[in-house]
Amino acid sequence: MALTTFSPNTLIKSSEINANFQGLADGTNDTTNNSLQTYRDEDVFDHVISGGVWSGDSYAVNRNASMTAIVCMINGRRIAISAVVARTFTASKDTYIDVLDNLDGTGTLVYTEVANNAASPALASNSIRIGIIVTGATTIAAVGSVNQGEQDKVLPIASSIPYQVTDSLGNLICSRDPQRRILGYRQRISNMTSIAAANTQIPELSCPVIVPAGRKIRVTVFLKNMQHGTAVSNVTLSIWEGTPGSGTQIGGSFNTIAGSNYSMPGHAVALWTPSSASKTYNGAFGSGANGAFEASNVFPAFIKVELC
Amino acid sequence: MAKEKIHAIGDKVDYKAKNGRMTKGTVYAVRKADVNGEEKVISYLIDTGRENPDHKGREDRQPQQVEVFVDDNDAA
Repeated sequence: MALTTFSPNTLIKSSEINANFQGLADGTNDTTNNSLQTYRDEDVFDHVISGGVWSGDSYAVNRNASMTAIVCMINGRRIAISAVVARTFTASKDTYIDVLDNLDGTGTLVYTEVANNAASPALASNSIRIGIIVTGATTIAAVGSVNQGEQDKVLPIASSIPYQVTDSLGNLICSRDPQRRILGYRQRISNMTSIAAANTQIPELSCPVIVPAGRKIRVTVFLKNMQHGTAVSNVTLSIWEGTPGSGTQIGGSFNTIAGSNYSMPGHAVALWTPSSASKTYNGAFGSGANGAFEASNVFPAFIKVELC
Repeated sequence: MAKEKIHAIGDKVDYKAKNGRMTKGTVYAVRKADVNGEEKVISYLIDTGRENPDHKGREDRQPQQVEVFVDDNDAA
């Protein structure tokens, strides 16, 4: 049937509506402009839409865990996978759980095992990472052994840095944000004292990220209070791309502390355009002697990388 | 891989894929997925001993990982 050009107030027969608009949503009329999948692929980051929640079946009893049904978006495709019931995880491993887009509207759960607290395995193409399950010899110990990208997770942990929000390579764990506003986060929940050098790395505040090409990021480092043990001294808080001191400093703040009974919040922010995708951002504290800050689970010290 | 299967993380391997490419190193990770209703090993990530080129200079070394697929293992 030939297509019709309509004018205002023209009555349109249903058959003509179908002829004109059939295929609009799936893009068969114009795959460049009208394809919903193309739009989602180009404009929306891969993410978990709903479900996909893992939990141990019997913590500290066995190595079984289950997952609720998941719906996710990869390459602009909506992928649904049924619930998983009582999967037995291999002993003494960190098992990374990814969803692989089979490129045909279906997906597959892929389980990648590495030694406990090893660096993260690479994420395969056409995949998203949805969780890490940590096993001991006989059990999944506790709810903390199931990491789905929460900001306060403590496992896996390597070089004193727990994998929070991202894995060690910067892959987001179970990102549920189609705009991917947070790219990375790390926190420290214990005090740090006796800082006696410039640009001293705060060990936990080392944040690997993967930045989409050409995009800007905002990096924030926050400390509840910066202290100094001697009278009237300066302390610095700085943000580095790469290792503090030898990498590239991209931001910082400076405070003059009146004495040992005084402190000031530390807050440094930087807007930055990375030159390549995989980067590690670090927070550093500088002090001549006896520098310190406090941190706890109520007021963590943190570094956060956001997409702008 | 030279006529033997990779069984565990930490095994030293010398893997020959169908395309003839050799990958030497240590099994770093084991990948499993459901294949026709049964969960099987589908590939291995081999630590070649080099540093991950995207993460050079980090204190927490990130190993370069080369993925080899079980289906590619002609020699096995």
